[in-house]
This record gives sequence, structure tokens and C-alpha cells, in this order.
Amino acid sequence: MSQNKNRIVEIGPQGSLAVLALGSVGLKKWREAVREAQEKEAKSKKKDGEETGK
Amino acid sequence: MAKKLANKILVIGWDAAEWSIIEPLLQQGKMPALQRLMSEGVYGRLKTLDPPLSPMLWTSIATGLRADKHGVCGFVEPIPTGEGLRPVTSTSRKVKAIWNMFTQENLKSNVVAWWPSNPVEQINGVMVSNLYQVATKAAREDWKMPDGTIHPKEKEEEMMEFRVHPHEITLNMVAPFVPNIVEDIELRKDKRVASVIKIIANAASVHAASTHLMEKTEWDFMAVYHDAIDHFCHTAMRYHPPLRKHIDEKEFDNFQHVVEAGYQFHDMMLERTLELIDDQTTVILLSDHGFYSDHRRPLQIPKEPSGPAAEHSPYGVIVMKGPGIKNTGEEITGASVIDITPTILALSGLPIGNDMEGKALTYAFSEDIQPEFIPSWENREGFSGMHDKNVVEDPWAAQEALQQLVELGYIEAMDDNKLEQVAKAKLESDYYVARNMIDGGRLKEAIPIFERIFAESSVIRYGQRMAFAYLSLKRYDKVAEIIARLKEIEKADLEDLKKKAQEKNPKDPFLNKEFEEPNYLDFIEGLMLLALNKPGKALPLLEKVQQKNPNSLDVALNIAKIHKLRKSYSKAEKQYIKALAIDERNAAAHHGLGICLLRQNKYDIAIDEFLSALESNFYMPSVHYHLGEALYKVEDFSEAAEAFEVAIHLAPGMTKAHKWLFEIYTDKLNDTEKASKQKEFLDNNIKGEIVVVTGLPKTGSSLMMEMLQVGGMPILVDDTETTDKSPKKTMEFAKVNLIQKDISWMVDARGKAVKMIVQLLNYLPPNYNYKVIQMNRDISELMMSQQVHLGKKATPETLPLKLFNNYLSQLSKLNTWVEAQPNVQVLKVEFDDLIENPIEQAEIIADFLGEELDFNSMAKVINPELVKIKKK
Repeated sequence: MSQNKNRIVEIGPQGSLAVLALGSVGLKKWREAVREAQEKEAKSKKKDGEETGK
Repeated sequence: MAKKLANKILVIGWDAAEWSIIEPLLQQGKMPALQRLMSEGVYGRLKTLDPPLSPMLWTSIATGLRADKHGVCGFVEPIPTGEGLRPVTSTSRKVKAIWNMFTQENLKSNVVAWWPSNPVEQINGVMVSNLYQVATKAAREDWKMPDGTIHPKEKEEEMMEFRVHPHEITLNMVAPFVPNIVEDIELRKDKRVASVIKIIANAASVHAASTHLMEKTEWDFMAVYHDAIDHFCHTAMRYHPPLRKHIDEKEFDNFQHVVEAGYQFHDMMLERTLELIDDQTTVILLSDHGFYSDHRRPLQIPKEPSGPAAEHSPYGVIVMKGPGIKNTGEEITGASVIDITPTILALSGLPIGNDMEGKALTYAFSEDIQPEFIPSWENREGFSGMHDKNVVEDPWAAQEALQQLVELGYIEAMDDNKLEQVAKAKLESDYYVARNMIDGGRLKEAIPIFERIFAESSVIRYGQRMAFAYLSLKRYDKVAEIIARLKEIEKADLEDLKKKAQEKNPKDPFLNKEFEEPNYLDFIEGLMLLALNKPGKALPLLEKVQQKNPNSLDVALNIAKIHKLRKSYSKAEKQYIKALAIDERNAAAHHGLGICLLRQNKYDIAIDEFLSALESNFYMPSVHYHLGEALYKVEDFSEAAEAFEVAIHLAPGMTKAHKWLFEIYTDKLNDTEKASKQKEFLDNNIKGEIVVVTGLPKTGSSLMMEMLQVGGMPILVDDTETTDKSPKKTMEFAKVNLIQKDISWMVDARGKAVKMIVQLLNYLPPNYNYKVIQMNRDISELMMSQQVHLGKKATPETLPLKLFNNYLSQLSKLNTWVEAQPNVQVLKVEFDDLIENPIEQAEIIADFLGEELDFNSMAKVINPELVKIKKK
């Protein structure tokens, strides 16, 4: 029914209303992006810690 | 089985969605999904029910029944264990909802967050309750799914992950609502921002759950309810542009985007929802009521239960699209929230319950179908998924039973506060039910409820509504009684406030405040005087009310009515314009304005006004009639004929329209076939209209006949000679007294006035229309007049009581008879008013008869001597 099936919504950890509006799919993808970002941040903190010896 | 037009139906509920907010957004291209839905289907305003309280309304939407029948009567109900109150639950619903009907028909339904739907029902499909999205714990990890939230239970875990906790909402998501939040860190602590965050999270949860079910389950019917628009509006409508004087500019700057962003968010969610359905799905998007967004926004929210409902406007939205629905993009009119269940049933080829008040919106259907009917869905056997009969209960009755157990000492008593809370809530719930009945035209059922709750509580609101109900029933004695009681309560309240003020500060200037008649009392009194044909006394009261409350639509319409009655068309015009400034789509105001313009020979603009009235409400026969009249004046005869045809289609007894049609088809369109049909109809069915002047002896009926005659109205009287003893012609027509045996004279009475005694009225045959002018006079006074006429001694003490009672009984019988006659309209004229204000009464009579009468000549019939005697 939609005439706009190919629209592109960017999904980043910061989220957006457009992502929430995608419903269950958007929510899953966004939470994945948040998780990935958190893991990345944790890794980078760990790496920084190792480099600085803290 | 009736023809099935739709295989799958999706209902999307947007609580409080309002066209006056949506329209500018559509024009700016900010709601493209809704725009598409409208252009490929039909759309229109959806009339709410009174009171506009969402749990009651959404239950009426889902059942096709009003609150007294469905059982959801407000926002709260007592907790069965006697611990006070709780939000209303699905166990209060006593009747089947549409999903229960589908379950019975082996059709699958998904229901998401409907209000109220907690605890969930065992339907054929999935049900997600209205408590699903409400975060009960500060941390997402601690937020459990309470029992009764999901059906079937095994889906609980699957549905858990679609709940969005407010803590998950990011700055990026809130920024479109409150852009200043990005820079202003302090603003992030504002409680309105916290509300916005919670509303976004709730809406996202409902949307995620519904889209998941749309994708992963099979369904024939799906209903999704969003409360977010209503909540965004209650939070921030006061900051919605334009900025009003009393709103702080900084606050306005911070929160002016909340409402608009809320609507846009819903459009984005709608876009996704529409992606997930196929071409075989019929979509119905609707709201339960609207929300004032302009100058009608209340300056203050009343401090009373359900006070915020003062922000709700009486029309919501409806958009329908898909199989079974016209794809013309046209606007439909005359739809009400009570029509939704019948419409869904008709689309699905299922029968409509005769106990349902609403109608299927078949005029929006792509095919002309005749829905089937059954007495009631309640008697239909089969598993419906409704709560077990032991669970379904009247919580108020349960509360009373509980109280009895307390009194017997079986269980511990609630503390006084809670008891009082429950008692107040019960009164309030009864009040809503009574208002709902009045909205459905069931005044007589509502009155005893109002009488009881007003007597128990003396709550002013209850008295006010009761006064309006009695006003509609023309029980002016009761209205006057209530007005007096309300004044007493208001005075006592003022004294109480003074006492309290004195305790605090004996010099408080408030102590000097004198009692002033509240606006609403002036309004009720004004309406009563108007109903009693005393427009001269009503006008100053209504004007006073208008000064204090310039945004009251009803006041403007009633003032306009008085001016129109007096043929002061330019004054009436101004009031109608005022009414339209308050509500630009008000059909009555457009109609009234059109009549004023028509009577001033401004035909083209009158036609525009009539068309505007019909755009708002097509089902107004008198508007079609006046449109026909205006079109005739501009010599557009075929269009005029069409308008008159619609008028008689909607109101077959409208003799005048038949007459116009006969004239147009005969003289203008030369359509002999249609002309003869009209003639046949006029001759056989509606033989014509007769004006009957009646009243008890010595009430002035002869005087009235004389007035009508000099005013230009043809009258039917015997052709008797005048003599020196009787210099005036008698106003009698002897054959009238033989009406029981002979009605042949009635053909000659068509279009004329004839005098008849009260006792004979019930012999009037039903194939004529009658306009009855009933003369009234104080019974003691008229009896004294009779006694004098008979040469007897006349003092109030010597009047025969038997005769007095007999007169009262005759009048009572007359009223009962009139109420049962669809072809009889009555105007009651008080003899005293006629003597004191003959011109005003002449205006009222002319308006009632729809005739151009000569008021001044009519007034001259009143003998000045009579006025003097009366004054003495």
C-alpha cells in the first residue's frame, strides 16, 4: 500500500523518531546499534587503559 | 449472510486527533501518509459522544453501545478488595466488543493497547493490554510484564522486547518536540520534558508491538490504539501557536513544537503501518474526540474530576480506505463514534445488532449494500473470548457488597478518605452515564439519575445538567426550581469562602463581595425565557452572558435566533458570524446566516452558506429546503428541484417542499410526470397543513384568530352577519364541532387557520400536518373571567375546584396527545404575553407559521383597554 517502500532510514546509536517509527524492525536495529556502540566504546576504553597502563 | 466487502480490517485509533491541527500540516506536506490515505479513500469529521471521556468513548467505538449498556463509565472503578480506586479495567465491560464478535465468527483479531483492555481477553488472536507500555520501574531491567497483559500468555516473552522504556529515549528523539533541549541543559529537567519522553516511549512501544504482530501473525481484524496525541496535547496545547497573551514567551518558545511534532511522529508511524498491509486490507483511522487548538482553548482547566476534558472538542476525525470504501478522496458527513462497530460489521458481511444505536456508514462504501440485522450480539451463542461471567462484574455493585461485609464486621473497613473517594467517584460515574443518556436523547431516563446525585451531593455541575435536561423536556417549573436551588448553593458557597477568608484576614476586601448571579444561571434562565416565548426578556440576559463569555457558541446562536425571529436580519447576521468565528464549521450557524441572507435577497451568498452547512452535516432537511428556495430565486430550477427532493427524502412530511416541487415541475421544468407524482402525493398522503387555534375557554383564542386574519393569514370561519349586539364577526366554524363524524370540510381548511376546542384535537385525522397555536392563561384568572361572563360572583375563593381540576386534566391530556403526534407542531402563547407584548408575540407566531405576517396590524387588534384592565 505504501508508495515509499524504498525509503532509507539511517540507524545510529543516537536513534531518531524515524527509527522508532519503523516499529519492531527499527527498534531491534537501533538497539543493536546501541549495543555495538557500547561494545566499541568499552573496547576503546579498554585499549586506552592498556596503552596508558591504567 | 450479507455481502462481505472487506476481508481484513485495520482500525487505528489516534486519541484526540483533530482536523484543525491536521489541516495546516497537510497543506505544508507534513503528514504525507495521512494525505495519501485520505486521497485514496474518504475522510470526515467524527462526532463524539458526551461526555468526551476516552475510556467510555473507545468502549462505545468497540461495542456500538453507550456507557449505561457497555458498563465502562469513567476513568476509575473501585478496587474489588476495597482498597480504594483503580483505573477502569476490561472486566467492567458488560457486552461484547467487536473482537469478541469476530472470535465468535472464527475470525482472528489482534488488539493492541485498546482502552480499557486490561486484563486481556481470551480472544481468537493476540491481545496486548493498555498497561503493556506503561513502565512501572525506573530501570528497564526491573520492568516485569504483569499478569493479564498479553494473550496468549506464551507470547509474553516475545512481546517483552518491543516495550520501550523512557530511559531509552534519546536527545535526538526528543529534539523535534523541544528543540531548545539541545542547548539548554536545565530545560532537560523540566517535568513537561519528562512527560514528552514518557509519551514518546509509550507510543513507540505500542507501535513496535503492533507492527510486530502485523508482520508475524495472521489476522482478519486488527485494532491499535494510540493515546499519545491526546497526551501531547494535554501537556502542551497551551503553547501551540499562535502565542496567546497570558502565555509566557519563554515557555512558548520551549514547547510550541510539541503538538506538531506529535502529529508528524504519528504520520511516520502510519507510513510504516501502511507498508505492512496488503491491498486487501481496509483501513479505518479515527479519533474519539477532537482537541481545541485555537481561540477556543480554555484559559483554565476546571478544577473538577475529568476537568481536562474541557480541552476536548466535539468532533474527531475519520479516514477510511481500502476494499469496500469509495476511493474518491471525498469528504463524508454525519459520522459518529457510535457508528464504527456497525460499519465494521457491515463491511465484514456480519449482522448489526438492533440494540446498537449507530448506523453503518454505507454512504462511504464502494457498493450499495443492505446490512443485515439481528436483535443483539449478546444473545448470539458461541465462544467469544469475553471474560468469564464470574470475572465480569459491576465494580460499583461489588463495592457496595463489600461495604455490607464491612458493616457486618466480616472485613476491615476502608479508611474514611478512601470511602469518601469511592463515594465521590460513584456519583461522578453516574453523572457521566446520565450525560451520555442525554446525548443519546434519553432525557427521561437520565433525569432520575440527576435528581438522585444532585440531592445526594448538591454538586453544582449536576444541577446545571439537570436544568438543561428539564429545559429540553419543557418542564419549566422544574427548571425554575433548580435555578432557585443553585442560587442557594452558590450563596452558601460564597458565605463559606467569606468565613474562611475572615479567619485568615478580617480585613480581606473579599468580605465585601456581594452575591452576583453566575453566568451559567443567567444562561439557563435566558434559554428558559426564550422557550417560554419571551424573547424580549431573554435577550438582555443572553447579551449579559455573551459579554462575560464571548466565546460561547450556544449563546451567539440563541441571540441570533431572537434577532432572526424579530426579522432583524442584520443583527442576526452579526451573531451568526460571531458563532462561525467560534466554530467555522457549525452547521446551524451557516444555516441561520443563510436564512438571514436569503430574506435580504442576497441569494448567491445565501446559497454558499447553505452549502457550507450541508458540508458539515448533510442530513438537515430544512437546510436543503432553504437551499431549494434560494436556488429557485436565482432561477436555477433544476438544482432547486434537486434540493427540495433531498429535503423530502430526509423529511417526507415536509408539505412545503412538495408544494415547491409541484410548482417547479409544472411551471418551470414542464415535467408533467414528476408534477403529477407530487400532486398525487400531496392529495393522498399529506393533504396539506392546517393551522389550529385552540385553548381553554376565555384564553384568547378568538383574539388570536382575529390577529391572524388582520396579519394576512387566511382563516376558516362561518359567514355570519354582525349585529349591534355582536359588532364583531364570530371566529367560529361550526363544522369543526362535528369532526368526529365529518372531516370533509378539512380540504377547505388547508393553508388556513381554524379555531377548535381542546377536547376535539385528538379527532384530527393523521393525513394532514397541523400547526397548533395553543392559548394559555392562568387558570384561576380565566375561570374568574368566565364567572364574570356568566354573571356570577367571582373571587378566587368562590371558584369551583372541580372545574379547575378538570381544566388541568384537559391540558395534561393535550400535552400527552401532542407528544405522540409526529404531524403536529405546537406553539404555546401566554395570554398575558400577548396583551403585554403583542408585537413580540406576533413575530413569534409568524416565525412558527413560516408566514410573512403584518406584525403591526396584528398588534393593533389588542385593545388598549384590555391592557389597562390587565395592569390593574
